Amino acid sequence: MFIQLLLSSIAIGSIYALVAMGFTLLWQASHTVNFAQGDFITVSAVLMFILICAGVPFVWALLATVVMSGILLGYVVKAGIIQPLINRSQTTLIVATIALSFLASNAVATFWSAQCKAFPPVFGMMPYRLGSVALSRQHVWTIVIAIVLILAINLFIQRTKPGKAMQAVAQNREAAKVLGINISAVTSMVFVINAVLVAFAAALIAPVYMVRFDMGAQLGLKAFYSAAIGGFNQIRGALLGGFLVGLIETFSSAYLSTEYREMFVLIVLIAVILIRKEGLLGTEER
Amino acid sequence: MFRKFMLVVLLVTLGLVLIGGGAIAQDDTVTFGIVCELSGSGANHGAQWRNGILLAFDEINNAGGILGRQIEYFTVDTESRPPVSVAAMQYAVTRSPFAVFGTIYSSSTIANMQILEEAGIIQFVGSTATTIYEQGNYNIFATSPINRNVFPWLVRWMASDLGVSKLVMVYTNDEMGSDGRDIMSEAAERYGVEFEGIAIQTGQADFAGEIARIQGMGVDTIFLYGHEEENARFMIQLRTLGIDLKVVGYSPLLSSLALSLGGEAMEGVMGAATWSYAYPPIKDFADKYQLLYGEVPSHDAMKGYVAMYTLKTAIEQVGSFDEELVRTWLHENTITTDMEPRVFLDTSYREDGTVDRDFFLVKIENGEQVIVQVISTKEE
Repeated sequence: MFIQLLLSSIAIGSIYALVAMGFTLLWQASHTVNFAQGDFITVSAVLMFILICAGVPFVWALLATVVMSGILLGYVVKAGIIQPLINRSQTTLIVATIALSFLASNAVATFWSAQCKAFPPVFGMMPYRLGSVALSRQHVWTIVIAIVLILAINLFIQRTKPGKAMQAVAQNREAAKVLGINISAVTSMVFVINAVLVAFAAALIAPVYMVRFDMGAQLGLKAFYSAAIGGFNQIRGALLGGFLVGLIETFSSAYLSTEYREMFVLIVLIAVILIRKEGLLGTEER
Repeated sequence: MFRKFMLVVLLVTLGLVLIGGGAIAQDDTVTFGIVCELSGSGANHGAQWRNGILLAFDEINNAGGILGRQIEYFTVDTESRPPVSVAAMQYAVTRSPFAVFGTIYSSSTIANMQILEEAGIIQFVGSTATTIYEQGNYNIFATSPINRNVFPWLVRWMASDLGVSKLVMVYTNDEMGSDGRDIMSEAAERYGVEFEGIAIQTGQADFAGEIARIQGMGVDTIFLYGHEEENARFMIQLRTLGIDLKVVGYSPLLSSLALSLGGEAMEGVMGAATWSYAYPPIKDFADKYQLLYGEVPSHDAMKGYVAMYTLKTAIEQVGSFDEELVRTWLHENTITTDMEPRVFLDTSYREDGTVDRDFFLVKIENGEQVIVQVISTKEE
């Protein structure tokens, strides 16, 4: 039972971590807290669901969604909404993303459906068995894919020239500009990476959450908690936060109380902020 | 003098035309309101409820209406939120409907039922929480047997037929679920069954902690009482973890929506259903609904459809659109399938607005409901 619980909490935590990593990347590149992050998941899941219903095999539907999400939720959102406001106050950017959140979820409800739809089980129903322990295929593959994605993003940031440009912009925008880095292009790239992460998160979560116009709201909120707990300006912080939230949720409902499972996460969030306002692994910003 | 006389004649004639015209317009039609959850967490319920009612409207209008009047209607969305449902109901009153169908969520109905009571407008609701029917509201009518009428029978059946000595109930932490938990725990005590409740949240997606807790309790049967979506997610997670618990439930677990969302994970589930599309008299309706809307009707669709035919029957039996007489007739008489076949089951209303009629014990086999037994609410 403990192994199943651990696996389950890591699986859900890894999805929080993926989405929280997107929060962090956006913050580093543009000092934007994207409150539409959860709704980006919804839009990606709906696009993928429509393709699957049209008979497109899952892998191709996923790839097509990644591309569409990158263009629509990455490049278009950055160029059309964020870029014109990037020199305004943070409050303006936050209000813009909140408006985008409502727009996205309402558009899905109005133009697609307000009703819940079952997403096909991607990894199958039968569990893997290790002796007497049954492991959910969904959980196992969610963890594997999330870890691969996290490693890939980290490699990209650490080892490639565009990744190093992202780091430079994150550390000091003005200095990066002086060094000849195209800030706008780097920010666009970060928005596209975030949209790609979100599309993968949608593929991993849709078989569990099912597809609905508001499916991303809770997930976006949990990812936000994760980023805040771990540290909004550090990728490793977001990852730690994601896994922590997954662990707290699952183990508290198993051993403490199912009624107050949300409360335990919020208690940890408040405690962390009170003790270390920049989050567990976050760094102080000037 | 002649001019004055002509002016009076003209005014009187104009007045008569206006009054008469109004009367003709009123006598031609009757207005009903549909106030339900068309967006938000209850959107699936609301859509089916509305569709069932609209199908009934369509059939009735095509057959000549009610007492010669054609049905007109308006629809208002509550967004599945009790405060919005209050505003929606206040708006509905301004449209002066003969009756309102909705709401479905118990928490919304509790919030809005007084508005229609004060306005004297008949209200048919899809809600099942006991609290609603303890308010002494003579104006409200349930559309299916409520938890209080079904759960005691279910506990007795689980204890005697499934050998359940400890009952673990998984319920949503809202008005519907809490009401179910209270009734279930009382019934369990009455039949000497140990009871344990596990709360889940509306919209919850991950149940690993709850499932681990159940495994730790060493039971082989659980009673699952969430909304359709949580039920389906819970079942999928249970089966993907390879856990072979017997799962018993109520209409939200056995509905066509839960079955379509849960797929093969729902196989073998049993429980009580207030309506079953497997019941032969309902088959025609179910086929027609599926043809029109492209989905199997859930109990919400059947509740809405039957509510409209129940009201139509009462109006026709009374012979007029007198709200007070219709309300009284509904409380004092049994609507039989001889009077109106499309009520599907003989139905009578108690003083508190709850229903006395049969319900079904069903099992899910090959993705379909199979009726095991038909039970009357009067058995409890």
